Amino acid sequence: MSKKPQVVGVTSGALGLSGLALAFGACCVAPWAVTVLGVSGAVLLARLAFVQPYVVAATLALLGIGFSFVYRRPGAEAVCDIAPQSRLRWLVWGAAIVVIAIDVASFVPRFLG
Amino acid sequence: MLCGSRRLLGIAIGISALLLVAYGRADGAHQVDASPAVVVSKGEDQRLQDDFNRDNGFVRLMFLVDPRCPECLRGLADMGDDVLAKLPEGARVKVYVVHEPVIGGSDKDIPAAAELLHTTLARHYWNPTGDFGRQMSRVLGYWNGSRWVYAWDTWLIYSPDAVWSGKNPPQPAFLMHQLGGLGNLKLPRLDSKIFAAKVNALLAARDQHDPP
Repeated sequence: MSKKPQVVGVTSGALGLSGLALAFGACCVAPWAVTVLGVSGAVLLARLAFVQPYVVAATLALLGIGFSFVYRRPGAEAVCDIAPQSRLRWLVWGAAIVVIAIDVASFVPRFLG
Repeated sequence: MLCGSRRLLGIAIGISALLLVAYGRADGAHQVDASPAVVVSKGEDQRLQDDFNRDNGFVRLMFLVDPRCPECLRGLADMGDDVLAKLPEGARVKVYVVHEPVIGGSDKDIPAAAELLHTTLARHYWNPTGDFGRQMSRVLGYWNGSRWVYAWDTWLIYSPDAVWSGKNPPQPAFLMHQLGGLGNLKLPRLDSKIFAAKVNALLAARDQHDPP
């Protein structure tokens, strides 16, 4: 059975959550929040910013799940299914690089100001 | 099964985003009604200094914010909810909010930001040059070891007897901030409940010394 749906699901989830972490992390230096969300929405975003480290942790957990999907020893029935597995590994590695870069960027505004 | 749950998750995220945008927009439209008098504060005038000294005998709060900064807006909302809304009636408190264009805020953003304070005690000053933040950086000693950190997202309490006599404002009795660049200085991060306790302590000391 192909693991593609699970791998695509966890990597896209990790990418989406890293975007959310960046929004929380950048909220103090991002004037767009008031433009997009209005004053009350921006206040709400700032009040929820404390969850940013937990969101980052969730992105790393999802990446871990993705890696476990593509590197776990396959069952006997899937031994010949090598080519798709290789593409999925590339997908997870690519997503990991992007997610980690965004996660790191989401912490940068903490040291500005 | 998995596709179904992903679709449901996508729909839930989409609805949440729409609600967040609609909530902010609806509230923002309501806030345009409040139009506080905004004093333009530049280097050559002394309006803020005059107001500060005229209010001698009051506990004075000074907030330095950018009216487009979400963290500053959250600070204003917390001050409105936890400090100003809970003051006893007739409390001898004055509030000066100095708005600075740090991340692109402008005087047009001030009315919506002002409404977060829920009070008429506050006077709003717009410092288009941003000079006041540089001046206050020196006054408050915002040196982080390698550079002067611009003074904004800063929340100050002045005692009733504080006088602004020279070019620079006096030292505050208490200070809080939300600046990432000041990690080395061990200055307290903004906590509106602690801030409220400090304001109430100064009010109590003032009333003991000079009963209303």
